[in-house]
Amino acid sequence: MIQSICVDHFRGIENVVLNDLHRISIITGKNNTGKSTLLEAVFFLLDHMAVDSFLNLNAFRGVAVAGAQNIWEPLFYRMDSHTPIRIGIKTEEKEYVLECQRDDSYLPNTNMLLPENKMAKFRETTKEMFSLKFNYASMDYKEEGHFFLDKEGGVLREIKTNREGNELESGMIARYLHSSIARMTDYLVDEIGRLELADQKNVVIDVLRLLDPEIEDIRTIAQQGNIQLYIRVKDKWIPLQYAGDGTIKILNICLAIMEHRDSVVLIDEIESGLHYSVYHNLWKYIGQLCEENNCQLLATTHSKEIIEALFASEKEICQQSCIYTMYDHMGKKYVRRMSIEEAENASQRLGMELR
Amino acid sequence: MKSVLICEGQTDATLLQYYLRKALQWNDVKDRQKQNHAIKSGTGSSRLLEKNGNELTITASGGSSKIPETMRLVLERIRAASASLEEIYDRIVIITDRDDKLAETNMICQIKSCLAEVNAAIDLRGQQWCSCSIETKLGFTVPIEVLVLVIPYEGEGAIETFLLNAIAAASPYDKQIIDECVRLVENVDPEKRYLVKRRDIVKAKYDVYFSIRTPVNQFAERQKMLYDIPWEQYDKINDGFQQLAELG
Repeated sequence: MIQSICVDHFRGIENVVLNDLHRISIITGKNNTGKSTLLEAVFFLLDHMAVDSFLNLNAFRGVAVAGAQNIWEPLFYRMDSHTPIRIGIKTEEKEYVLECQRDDSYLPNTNMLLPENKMAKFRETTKEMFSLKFNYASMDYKEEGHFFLDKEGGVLREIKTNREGNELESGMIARYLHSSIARMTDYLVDEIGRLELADQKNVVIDVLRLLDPEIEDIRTIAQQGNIQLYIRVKDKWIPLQYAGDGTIKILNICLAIMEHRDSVVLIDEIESGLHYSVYHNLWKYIGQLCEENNCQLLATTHSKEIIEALFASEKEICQQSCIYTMYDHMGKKYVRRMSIEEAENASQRLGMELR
Repeated sequence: MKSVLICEGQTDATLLQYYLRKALQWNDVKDRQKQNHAIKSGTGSSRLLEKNGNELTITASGGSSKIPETMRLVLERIRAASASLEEIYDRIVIITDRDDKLAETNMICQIKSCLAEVNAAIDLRGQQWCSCSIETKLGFTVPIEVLVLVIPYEGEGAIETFLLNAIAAASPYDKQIIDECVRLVENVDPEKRYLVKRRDIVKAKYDVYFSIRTPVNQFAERQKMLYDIPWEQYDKINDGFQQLAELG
């Protein structure tokens, strides 16, 4: 489980440190204080081996453009690609660190998987599109390499590790659910399929019933060569897409936790699409699923109700949770950490704003 | 700037709200969300007022002995404040009754003790603004000012005495009625069957006078009767609360 996070020069964060994270860590704060960025930083660190993580990071923000200025530069604090990014997390056993910096001089090696005729053009292009040099370490395992762009804007990677045969170490993985996740259903099909095979979808159905007690079942159904998710309501099978945003959101949360055993799920604006009446039970299921799957949850919110629902949760869930509030002050970021007991006191007795 | 005014009971809170609205042009904060962000003292009764971008929370502790408890809540909130220091109360006013000769000394001593618990040294004196600084849990040092008002200023009593004194000072006719009421209350129960506690005697004097002045409202809540008097027109009230004008 992640115990601390340290982010330097990433997007809008110059420096921020979160200590003593719990199984459920809620991040609050006003707009533009860096809540989503913090989640993105953790996701970037844990997902850096996926070349599409850069594109994903942009896609989360609704940006779909190519070019170093559009892909690399927004990752740097104040778009200043000359100051390196450093993201570190500590778990009970390990420390993971990713450092990225601009490299104007890098040209890909010829052993890269590009035909020689394309390489000449590539070299010309990369002169204008600087590369991203990275170093990653988790204890004695080390990686170094470059991310660079082909002329169509695709991200390529060249990497060396300190392991024999350049072997990559599979580390902790993360799932990032961004605030508009509600309509993404494609990858849910695989995950429901896995649960069907493992005969474990009852938990998912129970969670879906929080929103609609009439949901009886969920199933993958193939039609005209496409496999889609259907839910059964009052004996009728209805495509999941026709369900409300809340249903899909809650399904995403539930599956993300179940599919990320011993890992971390990052949720931006956990409350979006969900009515406040389900919050209490939502925490109950989240707490239970996180515990069963040894999964850690980091979620941002602007919702007072969802925070208060956490206050009202079972003692075990409260003890495993904490609340961070991020602030900007005089150009710097600060984080205030409170246990659930402290947060409840601050909110109910001291009249403090926790959102 | 955010200020908090800690008083004893609901009568005090009502009078103070009235006075701040009428005489010093503070307005109620209409935003319910914001109202929820007022500190909650023992009575759970707090009111948030605003003026020129400044905020003032009036909170009734539920008695003189509960004031230190409310003061600790205020200090806890200051200590827990975020880096933006938005939740900080820059000014703290404590208004308490001069129940006896030692009331002022005792209250000052208790407030100093609360401040000492958060390592804030202060040369605290009654009826004047005194400065000190508090370190928040995030390591910021914030300056705060504290004012302890013990009323009435002359003699012993409570806020009710303070109000009766103000009325008496403004009108010789009312002074005569008040003196008669005071005399009646002090002599009417020689066996002390009903009027035993000092606080009850003070309230009886106040209620007897108001049952003459506003007989129709004699069974109304004490707070409601307060609203019928233009307190802002009484010099003694204005003199007594002149330091409250510095809140915003």
